Amino acid sequence: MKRRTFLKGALASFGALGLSRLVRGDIPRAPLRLLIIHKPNGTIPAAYDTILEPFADLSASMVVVEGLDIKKKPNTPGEDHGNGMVTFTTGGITFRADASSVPLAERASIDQLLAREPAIVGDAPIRSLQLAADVRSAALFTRTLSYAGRGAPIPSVQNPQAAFTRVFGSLAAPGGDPTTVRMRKQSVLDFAAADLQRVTGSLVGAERERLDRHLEAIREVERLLDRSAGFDSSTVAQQVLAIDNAQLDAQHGEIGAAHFAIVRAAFQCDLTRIVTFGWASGQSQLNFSRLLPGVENLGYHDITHMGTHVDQDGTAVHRWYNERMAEMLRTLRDTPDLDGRTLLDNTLVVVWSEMRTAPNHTFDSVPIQLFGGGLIGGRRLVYANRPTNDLWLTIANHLGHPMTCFGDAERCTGPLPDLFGSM
Amino acid sequence: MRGLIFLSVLVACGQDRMERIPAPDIPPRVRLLTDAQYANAVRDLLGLEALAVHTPGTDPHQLVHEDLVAVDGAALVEYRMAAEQAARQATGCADLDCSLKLAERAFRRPLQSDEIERLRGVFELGGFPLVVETVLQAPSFLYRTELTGTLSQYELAAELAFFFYDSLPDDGLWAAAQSGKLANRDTLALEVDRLLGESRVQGHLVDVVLDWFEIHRVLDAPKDGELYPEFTTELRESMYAETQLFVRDLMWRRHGSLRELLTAQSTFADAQLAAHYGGAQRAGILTQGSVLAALATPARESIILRGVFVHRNLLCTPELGRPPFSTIADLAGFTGKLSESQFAHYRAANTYCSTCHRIIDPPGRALEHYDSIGRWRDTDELGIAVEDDTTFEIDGHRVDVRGGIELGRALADSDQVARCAVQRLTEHAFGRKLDRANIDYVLFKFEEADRELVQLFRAIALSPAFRERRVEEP
Repeated sequence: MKRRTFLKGALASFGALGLSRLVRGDIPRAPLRLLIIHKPNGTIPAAYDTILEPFADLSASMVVVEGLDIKKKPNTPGEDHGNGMVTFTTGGITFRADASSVPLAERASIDQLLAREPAIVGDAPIRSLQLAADVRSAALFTRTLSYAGRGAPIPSVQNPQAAFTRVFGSLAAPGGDPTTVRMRKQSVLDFAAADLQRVTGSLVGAERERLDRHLEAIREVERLLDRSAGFDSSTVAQQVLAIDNAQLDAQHGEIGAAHFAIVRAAFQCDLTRIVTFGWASGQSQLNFSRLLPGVENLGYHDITHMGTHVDQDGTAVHRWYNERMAEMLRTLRDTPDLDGRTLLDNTLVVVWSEMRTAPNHTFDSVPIQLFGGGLIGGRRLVYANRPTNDLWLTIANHLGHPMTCFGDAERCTGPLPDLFGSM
Repeated sequence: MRGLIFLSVLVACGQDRMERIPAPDIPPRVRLLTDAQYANAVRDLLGLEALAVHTPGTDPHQLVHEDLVAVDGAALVEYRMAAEQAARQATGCADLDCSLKLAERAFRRPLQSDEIERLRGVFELGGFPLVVETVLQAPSFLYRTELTGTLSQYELAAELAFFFYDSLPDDGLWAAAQSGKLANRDTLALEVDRLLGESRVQGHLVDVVLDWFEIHRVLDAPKDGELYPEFTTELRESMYAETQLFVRDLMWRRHGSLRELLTAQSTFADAQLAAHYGGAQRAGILTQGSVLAALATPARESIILRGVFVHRNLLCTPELGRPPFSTIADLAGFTGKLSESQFAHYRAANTYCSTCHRIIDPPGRALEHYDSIGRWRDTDELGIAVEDDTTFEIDGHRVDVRGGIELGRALADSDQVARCAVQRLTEHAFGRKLDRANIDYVLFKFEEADRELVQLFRAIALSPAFRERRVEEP
């Protein structure tokens, strides 16, 4: 309701504006962005080529990576899909929080480490953005893509209207806000920041860290307030408004597309540079039977374990996801960036899964595809017995983060040769 | 008789124990309002209905809100949108004094002088609407505080309000905090008893019990529509309503106990549900459709899910971990052809499986007469007569149980279950596990009240753990 009000306002007020920020022409090289996409339930290895077919016309920008294993610790608490998620995103084992049996991350996830590097995020007001098309799954850790630190999940925003509002809802009106409007907004934030300091005063440890992150969220809004829209967000607003978010099964593709539209616009305006997006958790019971005629009328997770034609249905679902992502990648390819290159040239897209095969939960050689972002495409790289942590290390170095190891020391063997070729 | 002796021993040293209870193992902290608390608070403060927020990562039906998630940009914008809408809609104050009083109630404490100055500035800049916008985004509104070793009078009033009805202190609690007497044992007990007579408190505590038994799950548990066409939305809602009415009646009309929750013979099935149930053969919450149908796969009942449920929610058995998935997958070709009951026999006979499943399975096996949608049946899906006799360990003894009714009875008489009820509901109250000594204290009071459910909530609110925090020496 309140978000819809804002969105309709966005349609009216920004409709006529051009890409003023984008035509400044004083930027020699646009920043490199990172979009990390989780697609659940691995792949069907025998049908992998068929599954990748939707990317055929993008193959010049694509690198298929094989032979990277999620070195999940056996018998970690909880559940395989979630453990795959935690191990892949944070590079290490889970821990069991004292207060519950919920396994959580031992440390920050890769996107958060990169989001703390000034050389990478620059002055983008939103340091990182977490989005998801579907978050229906019992346990938070089976669907969490980002961790701020030990035991500190950052949940993803599922509703595209909420995501749109976070990215565009705080920006100044075209041409800037009148002084009084800006002063009012600032006074609300000033009160909150001072109040937060008072509350934080006597607290220590994790309690204090949590409130420090609240303060950082206030700073994010302040940064956004100082940015003018300078961008025609009306087509994105229109797409987002058209979503019926109660129809999570029927609108799965549209919800994903709406998030991608938001991400593209946010990249284009340099409002953020680091995004994690999740289609759904591996335990999701999304029903694909109506989206994909022929697929069994069961939840997706149930299909992988008790379906009557698992490979056929799994192939159809994976292809369907890849068709949606290919569409998004083509849009990035066709969008000019600040420096005259395309947005895809300046965005590294990483598509990954929390396991290799879902019916029997295997974790070796998980399916990974990379696109854009300085890669020499058209290649299939096959490594042997390397941890997925090495992928993040290589990517982090490519983006300009000086880390020498990502995740647990014993799950770190060094940068992957040839991934980015010789630039 | 055993119960009596147990009580007398504790009574003899009860007073002594009370004095020596250490502060609970909970540091000074803040707790973010849940989305429900936020909506209730805005409604009570400003009379605005339906001003909901949906912060990411939260589940409204969680019994325990753990506060793992920080307010990030995504949550902040939710609060901001809601506050701006409230500012547009709110009426009520024309002057600064009135606005300050509203801020005071929103913050659940008197304002400090610097806050009054700041809010004066806000009022001068944007009047009452900007005060509303500011107050609803202030951390003092968004967080419940427990900042010192002993909760302040105002913090205590707020904790009582959130515990008993998920909203801000009402006029009675506010006045009691202002008088400085709320922490006084008699005043506190009077306030708690007053609250227990209020209908919104009664409704809220019923909801807490429903969340303890995960009753909402019946509303969206995946079910195979071809196998169970009769399992309609209406039937799901009937099952939910049955348990809701049953718990409400038990707690507030009959002042029933944990025992009766697990063994009561009467219930509130509507005509459709009564027809679905067929004859009798039911007693207590565990034999209700809302529990049984949720603890099943889409195709059939699940001994494991039912067993885990009883262990987690009623016995508080420590988690046993999971076998590597490949082990289960390797077995699937063989076990896929077995009935649920046959597979349980296999797990019992196989030494690798039985290490854990001899503990997990028995409560589930006792419920085998109820199928995936909670119907009674005499034969399983392979046409084999249902076996529901089983043996499991409770209170350190092996107990023979046959069927759901006897299961309920065995659990009802158990000290372990009484302790577990205290563990689960204190975990709900505090958002984390409580230490042994403080659990013992609440348990003692619960036993003293003959395990009456309402008295458990009362005991928690009156316990030292409710108002003391452990401050570590630097």
